[in-house]
Amino acid sequence: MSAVVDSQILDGHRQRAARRTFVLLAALVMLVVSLLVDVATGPAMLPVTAVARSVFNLAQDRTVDAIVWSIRLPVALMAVVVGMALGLSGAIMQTILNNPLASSYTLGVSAGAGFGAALVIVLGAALPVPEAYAIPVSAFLFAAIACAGVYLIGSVRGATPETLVLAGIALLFLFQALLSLLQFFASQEALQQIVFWLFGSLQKSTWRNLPIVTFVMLATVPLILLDIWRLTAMKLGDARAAGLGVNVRAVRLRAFALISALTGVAVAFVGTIGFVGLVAPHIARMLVGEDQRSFLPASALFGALLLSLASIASKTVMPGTIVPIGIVTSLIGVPFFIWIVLANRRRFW
Amino acid sequence: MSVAATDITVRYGRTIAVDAVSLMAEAGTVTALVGPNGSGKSSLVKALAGVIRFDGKVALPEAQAEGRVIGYMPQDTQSATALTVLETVVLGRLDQLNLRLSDTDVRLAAQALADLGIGHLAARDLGELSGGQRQLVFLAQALSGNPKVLLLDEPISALDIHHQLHVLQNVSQLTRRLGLTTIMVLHDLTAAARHADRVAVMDRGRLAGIGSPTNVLTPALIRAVFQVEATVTRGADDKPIITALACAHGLPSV
Ligand SMILES: Nc1ncnc2c1ncn2[C@@H]1O[C@H](COP(=O)(O)OP(=O)(O)O)[C@@H](O)[C@H]1O
Ligand SMILES: [Mg+2]
Repeated sequence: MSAVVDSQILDGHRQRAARRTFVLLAALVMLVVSLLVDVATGPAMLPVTAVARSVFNLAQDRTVDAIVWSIRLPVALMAVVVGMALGLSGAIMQTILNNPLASSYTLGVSAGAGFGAALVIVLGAALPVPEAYAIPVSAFLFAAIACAGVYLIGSVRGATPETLVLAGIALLFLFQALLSLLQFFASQEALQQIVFWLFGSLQKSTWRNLPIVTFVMLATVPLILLDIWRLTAMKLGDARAAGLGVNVRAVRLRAFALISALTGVAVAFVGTIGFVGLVAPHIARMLVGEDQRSFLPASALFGALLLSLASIASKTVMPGTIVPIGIVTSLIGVPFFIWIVLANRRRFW
Repeated sequence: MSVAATDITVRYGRTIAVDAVSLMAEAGTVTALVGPNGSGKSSLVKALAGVIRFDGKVALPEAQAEGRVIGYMPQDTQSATALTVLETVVLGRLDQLNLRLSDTDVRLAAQALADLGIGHLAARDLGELSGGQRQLVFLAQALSGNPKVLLLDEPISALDIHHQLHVLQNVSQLTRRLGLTTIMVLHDLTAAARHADRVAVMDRGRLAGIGSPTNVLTPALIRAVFQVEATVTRGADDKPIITALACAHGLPSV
């Protein structure tokens, strides 16, 4: 009897694995399409054929080349890598805190990074290093401080994942208050810069900062793989994971380091972009479940897809203007998120 | 001695949940841990499993190449994750898994499920199961790790009588066949007497008695620890049958 059950289970397992691979591939294909559409759209209203020729280096048109190569391509690619970073960090956060409402944005890590960036903008000329370098470094530093804060409050004896979530919310308010304080004292120009930056914008993407984000993104992958089964085990709760031999605190510490790197580098170059890190893991969970081997890559892909689609929307909702991307993701993200939550009530609550 | 715990003390803030308890258990035997709610059974098991901070010393068997030292099944079976039953059981061999699951990984998990009669649940989401089904899944997880020491915290509390028996018989058989050291928390004193070689009774953080079921489970001890008037009779196989008759003066203090 058991041989029959065995092979049934094995077949079932293979089918599920195949379905997950299919979902990942489908997401990848959609992402490529979205990326191409993103490059093809913009306020300059270039004909698609001209853009295509430029992308594949067939055209000689300088203006088209300039627009496509120095503006549209870096922006479109940045949407993809930043979306991946946000989706991935949100997914890791939801896993280690075992909470579907966790993300860098909802738990103060983005706000910390935002404060770090704003601090540099306000201090501006007073700093010994150029702003272009100081902003990302400071954003990363304060993302790390926020993560460390959450982690330290959560390592008090008797703390549970809920304690960590509450600590994150407290830090969110703290950094928002500090940010308001900065804005209150900021000069008119600094204030404008901060506000623009807080909206989140892909428009400052260049061929210089794109590789930095990409590198950080890729560098996290092997580190995540080392802990991949331990992360899955943490979905069963701390006691159970510990019973399976997982050093829960160590895994959380490593995960927070990755989250601060991913969030810090994303926020550093494009500002605070909400909801992608929250929503992408929910879509991933719905389609591939929570085995982290497919959940994490799916979250990254859907994060990229969401931000890439938002980038297209930011250029098309008001022809001729580019709406800051953070506003678009929030406007689309909120109703979308409510829908996901309602559709999956049974499963997560 | 396979498991030797000396002077285990577990504190939560000012609460002393386990107070200098020492407990020995031999390989190939089942020890049932009984006691009123809040008497410290779970805390003691957690300390043995090494998942909470405690004072005292726990000596365990040597680690082996294939398999874990401890298979621990916590009391709480709540879980709202979108993991499948198969994935959950596969995690029982966490340390042996590669990024890609091998057919062996899946077969071993399938076998653990089939052994408990729940192979048909393999593809279901953990969150959609009943409490009893989840309890069986987590037992399968603990067993699939091929442990030397089995620590089960109320493994049958949510099960129907058929599955209760099935689990208890399975656990005793495995314990004998594989020479495991099994310690499990039970509430049913008759079941403890039938299926365990030894019974340990916890009362307000201390051991009120430990030994063979017939020696330990006496009306006097049951009255003292549980505040229940009970009779102890003998079944056809000479094992004690405990019948609770009436509450003696109020609730036990917890
Ligand atoms: N996490 C905790 N924090 C504070 N007190 C706890 C905690 N867990 C258990 N306790 C207390 O420790 C005592 C023993 O609990 P426990 O070991 O769960 O008992 P049992 O499993 O025998 O019902 C109880 O008084 C309980 O209230
Ligand atoms: Mg208990």
